[in-house]
Amino acid sequence: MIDQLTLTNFTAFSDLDIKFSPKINIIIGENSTGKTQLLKAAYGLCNGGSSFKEVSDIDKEDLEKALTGSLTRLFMPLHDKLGKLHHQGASENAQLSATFRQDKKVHLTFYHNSKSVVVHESSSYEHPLPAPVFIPTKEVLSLMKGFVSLYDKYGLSFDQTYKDICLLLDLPEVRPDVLHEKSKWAMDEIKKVCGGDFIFYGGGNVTFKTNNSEFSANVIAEGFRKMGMLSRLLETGVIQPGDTGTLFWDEPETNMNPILMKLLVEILLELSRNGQQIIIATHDYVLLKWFDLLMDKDKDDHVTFHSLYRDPESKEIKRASTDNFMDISPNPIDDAFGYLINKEIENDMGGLGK
Amino acid sequence: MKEIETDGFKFSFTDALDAFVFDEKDRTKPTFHGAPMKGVDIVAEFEEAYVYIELKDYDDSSGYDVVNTDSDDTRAHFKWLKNYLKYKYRDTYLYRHAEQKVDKPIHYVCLITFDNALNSRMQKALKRELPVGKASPRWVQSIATSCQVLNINRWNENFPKWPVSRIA
Repeated sequence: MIDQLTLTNFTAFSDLDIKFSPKINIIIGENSTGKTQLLKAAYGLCNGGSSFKEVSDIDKEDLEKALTGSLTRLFMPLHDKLGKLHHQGASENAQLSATFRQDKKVHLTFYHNSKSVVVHESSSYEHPLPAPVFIPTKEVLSLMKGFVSLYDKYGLSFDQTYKDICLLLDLPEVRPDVLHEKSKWAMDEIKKVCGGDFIFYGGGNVTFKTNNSEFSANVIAEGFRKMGMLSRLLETGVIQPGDTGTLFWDEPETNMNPILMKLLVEILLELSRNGQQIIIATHDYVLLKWFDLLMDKDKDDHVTFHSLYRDPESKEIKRASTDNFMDISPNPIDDAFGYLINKEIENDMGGLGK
Repeated sequence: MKEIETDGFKFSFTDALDAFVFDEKDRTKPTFHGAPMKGVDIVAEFEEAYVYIELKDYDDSSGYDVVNTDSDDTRAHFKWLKNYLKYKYRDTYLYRHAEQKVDKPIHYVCLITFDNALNSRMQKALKRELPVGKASPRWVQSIATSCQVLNINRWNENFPKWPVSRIA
């Protein structure tokens, strides 16, 4: 679980500090305010520690090599050069630091010409962190057959999150008696709404099965395929509330209809009630509003809305966070509706009041 | 300049010919309403139009929300508010007709402290049912020229000559 992240002179950010809720975090912002970059940076740092699960004595050099590789594969900078992730025009070095549960910390820096990051602090970081999960914007069930082999052989132009999710989806399912009861509930609900199950045969071979037929996953609605990804991650125990690392999800709303959206939010809230930290980036009013409507303070739900915006004077990206839906400001998602209202008034009332 | 204070809001109509609390309950005032009819909160008159203004200040809008259309409670709340706004307008129009004060286009502006998305949905429903424009081929005039539903921020952005603020 990640508690706090600070990004200085890194990619789009000159200085950004964000404190995460242990439950649900929703990041909003206009295009190019760095929502996906923030998610990837947090994921990269969460992932850095978990990659050393099997190793007992890690030295600083190993850690720096792993984190450098992780950042370049996630962000795919020009010519794969780490230095290209340095904030353009900044004179000081780039710094990333994060604190995690149980006092784990990491702090690293690099310059615009660095080939590797330098780790300055890594308190307990090399010890296993629960592995995070990153669900990217595009669903992958329709493209995952042979994806990992092709990715490794030809260097496909997908960032690392796509390879990571394909690997996780292809893991074998855990024994039913090990599954969390809320995972079983969520999988049943997803099956009901989709009208069948996605079947994973290995090697990225995925089909969709109803009571009496089996179909190619490619002919199934994309929104269902997204819900199928979530179901599979629960089935394999990759998401096991209370045990697994942070769930990052970039624009879950893409190609999902509003009915699926309500179920998705119900599931995410239920997982968070059982110890799952979730960090989402979204452009969607319906998703945002469902969290506001379905959260239940009597069940200790906690949702923090983080708004990223470009400061009109300095042009730097800033953050404003609140736990109250109506206090989100700036709120580009609701502003989009406001612009419609403005245009309607202009059409109907002309210059009245102006 | 006409200044009006009502229901916790203060309006300054800098270019109004007239503006007053329409549903005035004070018998001593010349604008006392005094009829067994509903009425909007404010009527303002300008050179080219009348504007009817209705105010609704909510601390919590979740009972009215825009996405929760499968909840009976939410649907009932939304419908109640829509009808409330609709009948207030219609009764006001009738009252003004009796005053022979429907000789200019009439715009209905509801100031409701919802977010823009929910206000957009309310505006769409209200516009259809008010109705705005000529609802029948038999009509030779409309009873409402336009209908807008907006919050304070949107109001001040769109009507700089009619600033509104909350009374502390």
